[in-house]
Amino acid sequence: MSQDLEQEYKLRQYLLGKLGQEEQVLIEQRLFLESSYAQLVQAVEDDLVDDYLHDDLTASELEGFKSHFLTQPERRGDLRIAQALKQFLAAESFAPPVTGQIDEKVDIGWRCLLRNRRPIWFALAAGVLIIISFLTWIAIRSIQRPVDRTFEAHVPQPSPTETPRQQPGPSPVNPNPNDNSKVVEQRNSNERSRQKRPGERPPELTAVVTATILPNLTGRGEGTSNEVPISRTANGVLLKIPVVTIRNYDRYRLELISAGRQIEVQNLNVSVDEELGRIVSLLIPTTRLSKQKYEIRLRGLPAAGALGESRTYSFTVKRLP
Amino acid sequence: MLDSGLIDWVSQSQTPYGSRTNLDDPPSPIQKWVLTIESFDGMLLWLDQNRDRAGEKYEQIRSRLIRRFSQLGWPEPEQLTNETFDRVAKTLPRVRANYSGSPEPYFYSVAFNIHREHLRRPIMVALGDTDLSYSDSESLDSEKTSQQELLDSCLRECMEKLDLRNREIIANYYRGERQDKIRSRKSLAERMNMKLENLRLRAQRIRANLKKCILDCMERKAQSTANH
Repeated sequence: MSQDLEQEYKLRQYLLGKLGQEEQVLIEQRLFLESSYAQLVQAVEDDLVDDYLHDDLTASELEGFKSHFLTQPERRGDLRIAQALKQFLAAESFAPPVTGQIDEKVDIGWRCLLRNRRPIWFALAAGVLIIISFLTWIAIRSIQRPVDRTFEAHVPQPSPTETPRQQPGPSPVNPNPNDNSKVVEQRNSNERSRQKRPGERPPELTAVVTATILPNLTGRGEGTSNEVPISRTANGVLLKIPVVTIRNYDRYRLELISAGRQIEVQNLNVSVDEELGRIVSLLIPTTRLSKQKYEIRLRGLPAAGALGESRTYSFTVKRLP
Repeated sequence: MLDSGLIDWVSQSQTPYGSRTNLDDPPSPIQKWVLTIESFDGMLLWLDQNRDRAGEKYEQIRSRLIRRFSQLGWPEPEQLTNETFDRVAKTLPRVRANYSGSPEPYFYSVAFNIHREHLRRPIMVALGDTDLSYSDSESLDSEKTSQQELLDSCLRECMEKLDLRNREIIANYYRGERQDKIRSRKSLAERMNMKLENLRLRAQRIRANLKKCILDCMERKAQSTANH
């Protein structure tokens, strides 16, 4: 290392015209014959120019710099370029500071964000971060909470989701299945929903079981699919499905699939759940569900153009005695 | 044994001043210098008092110069080699009085300066010839201003062309003053998982490429302006 420093010191002296003739000739011989040495002298030249621009040269060095170093037109050109580069870096804050400086120079980081002419990178990075955070949050939630606790209590004795009928009136269950933003009020009734017939009003779902269906996460495997326990008294199931797609849409197409066959297709609006964030909800009579595995495929519905990327959720219906 | 044709060879060099001793001198007037038998003999004698050994040394130097000029990418390495001998013979009367040590390095030293001179490009001369008083505060006339604008625009263009990693290196390596700069470089080296020396060489390589890009850009734009 000290040899390197000595070598660089000698090169610096050479560039400033401070060496005797013999030493100078030996250096120039090496410069001609050894490419790596020529590269090193270029680095020392750059350092000299930078030191000059930052007023870091000693008086003697400054004299040599002006009277010897700058006599070569090429080096004057280098100085011009270095000067322009210095001004450019100072004015543009071209790149964010390195990690170690972030604490000290938060303001520079913000300036970078504000001034950078490529906001698309920040937008993309922010989008990816949000998605990763959301997926992580969902994963943590699913690990911390046993699946059966994700359902908001539906077992008889008495079931908290099976609230007594308060007063007569129109069904709060949205007759238009596309609009699921309203809170579902559950009514006390032992009447089971029946299969919808043409011209017949949809059955009033008065005892609704609510279940959150989490997306199939990579690496979780089949065994971790959601379970939807349905009590004998429930006549409807409200499936709350967190929307986890790269691009956000206001509406999603939901396909409910069983044994490879579509049994339900609905276009649903996104609503915001306090706990789950952006969700779509599907209210479905229990009569349409049997004790088996189901799959939900969710795809964004753009105003125009092709459907968004597909996200798959699966759940298994379990009948409680 | 010796290349006798060299003796009659007439230097075509337009800058017939010596290697480094002339760096501080004003340019000499353009003149043709002819390698005479006397100057060639003087050069051989300087290489070795024994004429045969001098001839061997001459041939060794000659073949090494041709090989190296060729490695450096020059299309006519023999011509540059002849130019080297020509210049050594010419400057020898002035140099040898104060010169100590082996003569061979001097040939390569002259060759290095010839190589460097041929590397200079017209655009660099134009850029370098703008009168610098080595002060930031000097007001620039309109020509200098347009030159500066050209440089700034090319710098911007070339910085945009750098990939993200190289841009980050350049921005962080050359940013800051004194302690800030040192700290910034250390931090950058750690982050890039590099030794400081390697980071320095990398930064220098990027800077050299950046410079080449800027000069190409300036040359292109200057030509484009001239054509209009």
